[in-house]
Amino acid sequence: MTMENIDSVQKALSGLRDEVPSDLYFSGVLAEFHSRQRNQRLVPQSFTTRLMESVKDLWFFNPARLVQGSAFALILLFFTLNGLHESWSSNSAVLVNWYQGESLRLEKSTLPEQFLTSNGIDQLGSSALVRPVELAALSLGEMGSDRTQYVMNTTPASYDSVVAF
Amino acid sequence: MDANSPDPNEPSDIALVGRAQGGESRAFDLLVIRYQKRLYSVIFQIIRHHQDTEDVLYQTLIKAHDNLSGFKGNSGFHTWLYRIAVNRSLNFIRLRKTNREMSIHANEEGDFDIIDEGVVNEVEVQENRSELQNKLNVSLSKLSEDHRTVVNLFDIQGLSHAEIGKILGCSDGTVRSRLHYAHKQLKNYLLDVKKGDRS
Repeated sequence: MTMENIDSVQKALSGLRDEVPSDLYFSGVLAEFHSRQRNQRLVPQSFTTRLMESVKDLWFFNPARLVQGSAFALILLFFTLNGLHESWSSNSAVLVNWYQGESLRLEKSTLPEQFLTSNGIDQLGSSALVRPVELAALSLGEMGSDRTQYVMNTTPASYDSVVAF
Repeated sequence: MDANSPDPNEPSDIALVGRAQGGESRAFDLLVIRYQKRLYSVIFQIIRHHQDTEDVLYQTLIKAHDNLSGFKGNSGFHTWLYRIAVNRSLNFIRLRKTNREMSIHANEEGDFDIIDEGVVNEVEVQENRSELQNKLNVSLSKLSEDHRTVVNLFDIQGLSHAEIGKILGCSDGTVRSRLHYAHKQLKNYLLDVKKGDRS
């Protein structure tokens, strides 16, 4: 498309501004405006209609923005709930550790180091880092509420071929 | 008369708005007379239907009158007025689109026939246009709503990027980018129409 063509296109575009009715039509606009304004005042509007009228031009009534806003709110809600859940989980672990703390400290001091890598502990689901406090958290569901049972319930040292005394 | 440079003998927009806000109804009438043609043109370029344009024009004027106390003068009066007109027009065509889809659905069920008034109306106004303007209208109708609106406000109504940004509630950069894309699209559509004519 040449420059000449572009000029003519721009002229034609600005010419579209004149696509309006004749002056005769506009001589009646003011009277019609007053008439419609009077009629609108005479017609009693319901509360819902008035409410809808007042909020019609607000930004969030734009469908696209409404969708964007809803998506943003959902994402925010997801992250908030996720954050709350994680915070609750870590608090639970702290509570469990606190609950088990006293006896486990005693257990650690009385158990030989080898006990911590025995088969008995493998059965509990962890063979690597096996500090008693973590084990307490792992085995809490299986062992029930009796704290001493945890220690007693592990493979007895005398039956365990790995652990030698 | 240009929106930004009214006749020096006539009162300015701000003066008339001030008088209208003070309760002088004649002042608002003068603003109506000043802007009626331009408002009609802005609305018609979006709606493309005279009868509907007329309805939206009156809705715009009534809304502007009722909310005049809310006009603080942060932007030009014509920008504020155009914003009401553009919002009303865009709401109207969205509603019309929904209604039309519903009508088509109803027609499929055999309830009633569709009368596409837009097409009938198109025939009436085409007589006064040049051939290029007809082609432009066809090409403009293919643009998206957002792109058509910026072309309408910039190329047809002659508003600045900043004014358009205020009307549409977006940044200068967004207006420029939409305009750039719209011009590119328009050029391609016009070339297609030209090729179609040759073949």
